[in-house]
Amino acid sequence: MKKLVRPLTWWLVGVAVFLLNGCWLMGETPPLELTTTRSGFKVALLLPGPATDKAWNQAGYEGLKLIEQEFSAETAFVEQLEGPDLATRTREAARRFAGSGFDLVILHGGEFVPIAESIAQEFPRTRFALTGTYAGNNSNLGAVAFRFEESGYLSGVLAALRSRTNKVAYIAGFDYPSYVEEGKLFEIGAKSIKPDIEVKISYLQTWFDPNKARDTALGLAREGFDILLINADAPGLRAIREVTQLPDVYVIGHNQDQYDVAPGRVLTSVIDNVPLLLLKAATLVQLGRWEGKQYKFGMREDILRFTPFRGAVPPADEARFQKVRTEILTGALNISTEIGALPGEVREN
Amino acid sequence: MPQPVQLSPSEVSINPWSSIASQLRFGLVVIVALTLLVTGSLLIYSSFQTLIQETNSLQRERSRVAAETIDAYLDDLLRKLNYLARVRGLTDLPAETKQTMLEGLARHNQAYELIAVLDREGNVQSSVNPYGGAKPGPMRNSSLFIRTFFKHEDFVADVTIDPDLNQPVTTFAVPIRNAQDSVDGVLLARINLKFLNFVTSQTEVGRTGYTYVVDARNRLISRKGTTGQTVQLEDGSRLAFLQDLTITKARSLAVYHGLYGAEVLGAVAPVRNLNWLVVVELPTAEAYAPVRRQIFTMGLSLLVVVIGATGVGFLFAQRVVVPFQRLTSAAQRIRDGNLEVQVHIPDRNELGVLGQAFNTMAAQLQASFQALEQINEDLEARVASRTAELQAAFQEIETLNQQLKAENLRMGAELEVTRQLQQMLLPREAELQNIADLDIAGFMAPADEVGGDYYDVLQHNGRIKIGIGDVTGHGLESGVVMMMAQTAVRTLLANDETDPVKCMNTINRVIYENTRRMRSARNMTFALLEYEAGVFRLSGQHEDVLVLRTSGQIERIDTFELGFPLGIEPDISQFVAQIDIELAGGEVLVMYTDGITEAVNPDQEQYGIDRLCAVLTAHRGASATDLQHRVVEDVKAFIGSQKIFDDLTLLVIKKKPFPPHASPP
Repeated sequence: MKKLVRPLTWWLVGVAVFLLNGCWLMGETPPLELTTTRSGFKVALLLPGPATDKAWNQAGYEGLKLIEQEFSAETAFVEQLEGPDLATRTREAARRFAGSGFDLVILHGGEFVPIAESIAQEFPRTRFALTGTYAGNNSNLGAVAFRFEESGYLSGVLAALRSRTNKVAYIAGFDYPSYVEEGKLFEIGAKSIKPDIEVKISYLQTWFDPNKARDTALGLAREGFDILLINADAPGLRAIREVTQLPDVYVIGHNQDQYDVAPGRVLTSVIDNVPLLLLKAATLVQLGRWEGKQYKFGMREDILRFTPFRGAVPPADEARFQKVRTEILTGALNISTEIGALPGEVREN
Repeated sequence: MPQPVQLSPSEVSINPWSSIASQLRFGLVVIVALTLLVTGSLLIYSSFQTLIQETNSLQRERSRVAAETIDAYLDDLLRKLNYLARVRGLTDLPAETKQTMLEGLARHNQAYELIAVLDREGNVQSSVNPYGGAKPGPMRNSSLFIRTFFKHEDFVADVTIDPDLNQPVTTFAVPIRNAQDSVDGVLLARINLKFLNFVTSQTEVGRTGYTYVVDARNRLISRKGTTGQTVQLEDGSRLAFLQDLTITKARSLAVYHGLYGAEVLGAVAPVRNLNWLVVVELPTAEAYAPVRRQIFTMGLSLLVVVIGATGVGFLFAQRVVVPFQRLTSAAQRIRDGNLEVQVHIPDRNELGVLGQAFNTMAAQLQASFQALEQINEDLEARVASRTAELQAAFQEIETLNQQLKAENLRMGAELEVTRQLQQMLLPREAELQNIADLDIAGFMAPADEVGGDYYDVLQHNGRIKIGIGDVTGHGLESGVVMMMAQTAVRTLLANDETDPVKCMNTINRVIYENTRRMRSARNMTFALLEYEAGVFRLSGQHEDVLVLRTSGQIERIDTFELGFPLGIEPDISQFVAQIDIELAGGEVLVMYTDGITEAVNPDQEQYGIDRLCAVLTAHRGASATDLQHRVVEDVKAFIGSQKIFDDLTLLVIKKKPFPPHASPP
C-alpha cells in the first residue's frame, strides 16, 4: 500500500499543476455570448421578378440578406412586380413599408426609375435607393450604379482579341442608360483593338422572353458574329446554351459566373456584385449620409469583376487584357465619354 | 592467502552507457534539461507569436490612424462641397450670391486653392482664388465636366504638382442642382494637399520607420521628409507590394523590400474617400528588435536555468553515484581476493547503511577465510599421516601377496603330481576288456583341486574285485590316502583274502594307522564289489549302487548298513556286512561318487540321483561304455561353465548277455 501512495501523490500533484496551468492559459471566464438583437434598422426590397431567378432578382435578394446579416437589420421584400400595373403595385408596397417605419426601400432595377421620384417625394422620412444609373432627387432618392463603362470597354477588348470573323455583338435586355453606356464602350473597347471590327449592339426590350434572346443570339451567330456578350438574365442563359451549339461561337456572360452553362465556350463573365452594391447603399443610409445623388462603383471597389478565363483565352491575349484592365484601374487610360450621360431631368421611358 | 574465486572467462564488465552511474547522472540531467527545454521553447514560441502579432497589430494601427487622419481632413473638405451640391437651385442663384458663398467656403479651410462653379456649358460662372491666381478656362470637354455634369458622378482628379506652389494638388468636383433639383452645373474645388506632408511627418513610426501616401494611380503623393524639397510625383508601380494591394487588395500587412530597398514590415490602410492608400513601413530590423531582444533574454534565461538545473541534478546524482561506485570497486577488490577492503560512505541514508553492512560482511568473510585456512592445514597434516599408514599396509599386503603366489605355485605343482598319480593308477582299457562275463566302462575326471576319488577293477584267479571310494578333502593328502586304499585292496586280492569283513577291516586299519601318522583327519567311504560265477557281493559304505534291470526298472541299493567310513575307527569289523546282487544278461550295475550327484549347475542346483536314473533308463539298451559316455555328457552339459568342485567317478558294469565262451573274439 505504502508503495502505491508515493507515485500516486506525485501523479496527483502533476495533474493539479497541469490543470492550474490550463486554467491560467484559458482565462477564468468564458467569453460572453450575447443574444443578437435587432439593430432597429429596417430595409425593404422591391423586385421586378422572382427572388429565385438565379439572376438579377436573386442577386438583389442576396444583397438584402447580406444587409440583414451585416447590420442585424429587419428586412422584407416584395417580388414579381413586373407587369402593366408595376407603378400601382410598387407604390402600394412602398407605402406599406414607408408607413411601417422602414429606413430604406430599395427599388431593384431600371424599371422603377419612372415612378421612384414621385414615391420618394411622398415619404420624405424614408430613404429610397435605385439600383441603376440615376442622378438622384437631391433629397431622399439616390442611386447605386456600376461603372459599366469599365466592363463594357474590357469586354469589347476581349471580344476583339478573340474574334476570328471580325464581328462581335453586345446583347442586353433593355437600353437602360447603364447598358447603353456599357454597349457603347463595348464597341469603343473592341475598336481600340481592331479599328475596322464590326460591332452590333442589340437590346431585347425584355428580361423575360426566352425565345427573343435565343433568336437574336442565333441570328447574330448565323450572320457571322462569333463573340457575343449576352446580358439577359434567364433568357440569356438559354441563348448562351443554344448559340454555343454552333461551331466557333463564344460568349461573354453577365451578372453571374455562367461558365457552367457552356463550359469552354464562355470566355468569361462580367460579375456585377449586386449584394455588395446594395450593402454600400445601406451603409450610407446607416451613416446618415445617403444624399439624393448617384453613387458609382466599379472594379476598384471589386463590385465589378471578370471571372477567371479558365484556359478559354490564350496567355498572350490574357496579358493584353490584364494590361488594359490595370490601365483603367489606375486611371492611366481615361475611358470617360458623354455616352450614357444622364440628362438633368429624369428620363421617362 | 586464499586464492580468488575465478568467474567464467567472460567476466561481467560495466558498459559505460548502461551503467547505473551514467543512468543516474545523465538520465536525471537529460530529463531535467529536456523538460525545461521543451516547456521553455514552447513558452518562447508562443510569446514570440504573441509579440509578432502585437508588432503587426501596432503597424496596422499606425497605418489605419494615418489613413483616418487624412480621411477626416478630406471628409471635411468634401462634405462642404456636398453640402453646396445639395442646395436646391444653387445654379439659379445670382452670381454675386454664389461668389459670396464660395468665398465663405474658401475661408472655412485654407486648403482650397480655387473654388469655381461651372455652368451647363462648362464655362466658369463664378470663382474664388483666395491666394490669387488665374481663373480657369472653359472645361466643356474635360473628363471632370463629363463625369460630373453628364454622368452625375462625384469626381476626383488626379493629383498633380502645382508648379507655382510646388505642392501636390487635386481637384474635387460635384454636380450641382437647379431649382428643380436637376443637375445643372458643376462645383469644383482645387485642394492643396500640403496637409498630407504634415500627416506623414507626424505619424510616428519608430526611429527608422516612415509613412507615405499613394494615390489611385499608384503614385507617391506624399512621404515623410519631403517637406521643403522640390516635390515630384513618384511612380510607385515599381513596388510589387503596392501592385498586389491595388490589383487584388489581398493583403494589408506584409514583410517585403520597402520604398528604400530595406526589408520592412509594411501596413496599408485605404483612404476611403479617394481610393488612396496610406503605407506605413518600419524596417524589420527595428520592428522585430523587441521581439528579438525578448527571445534572446528568454533563451538566455532558459539556458541559465537549464545549466543550473543540470548542475543541481548532477550534484544530486553524485550523492548517489559516488557511494555506489565505492561499493562497486570494493566489491571488485574483494572478488580479486583483497578481503581487507573497507568502504567509506559517511551519508546517513540507505547507502550509508549499505556501506556499513558491506564492511561488516567483508570483515566476517575475512574471519571465515582465516578459520577455513586453519582447518585446511589440520586436514592436510592428517591426510599426510594417513597416507604413510596406508603405504605401510600396502607394503605388507604386497609381501603377503608374494608369499601367496609362491605358495600357490607350490600347491599347483603338488596338485599336478597328485593328478598324475591318480591317473596312473586307474585300470587300463585292456584290463577291463579282459573280463569275460562283464562289460565294464570306467570314468574318472579329477576336480580342479584334485579330490580323492578312487576306483579299480582287479582280476585274480577268476575273481574280480571292483572297488570305488571317495576320500574326504582335496589335494595331495587325499590323493595319498586313495593310493593307500588302492595298494591295500591289491595286496588283499594278491593274498586271496575273500572275507569281506577282513578285507574291509584290513583296509580300514591301513588307512587309520597311516592317517594317524600323517596327523591327517582324512577318511574315506569305500565299497567293494566281488564277482564270481554271476553273483556280485557288495560290502562297504558308499553311495547307493544302482541296478538297471532289463525291465527298465532301477533298483537302488543302500550301502549305509554295509560298512563304516574307513580311517575313523581302528576296528570296523562289527559294522561290515555284505549283500549279493544277481544280474541277468544285459542288466547293468552302476556305481558312482558324490561328484556326480552333487555336481552343481550355474543356478546352484544339484545334479541328483533322479537325473542319473533318468539318463540310465533312457539308454538302458546301450553298452557300458556308451551308457558311461551318455551319463558323463549329461553331467557335463548340466554343469556347463561351472567349476568342477569334486572328482567325478562313474563305473558302469554290464552283464554280458551270453556265456563267456560265446563272446565274440
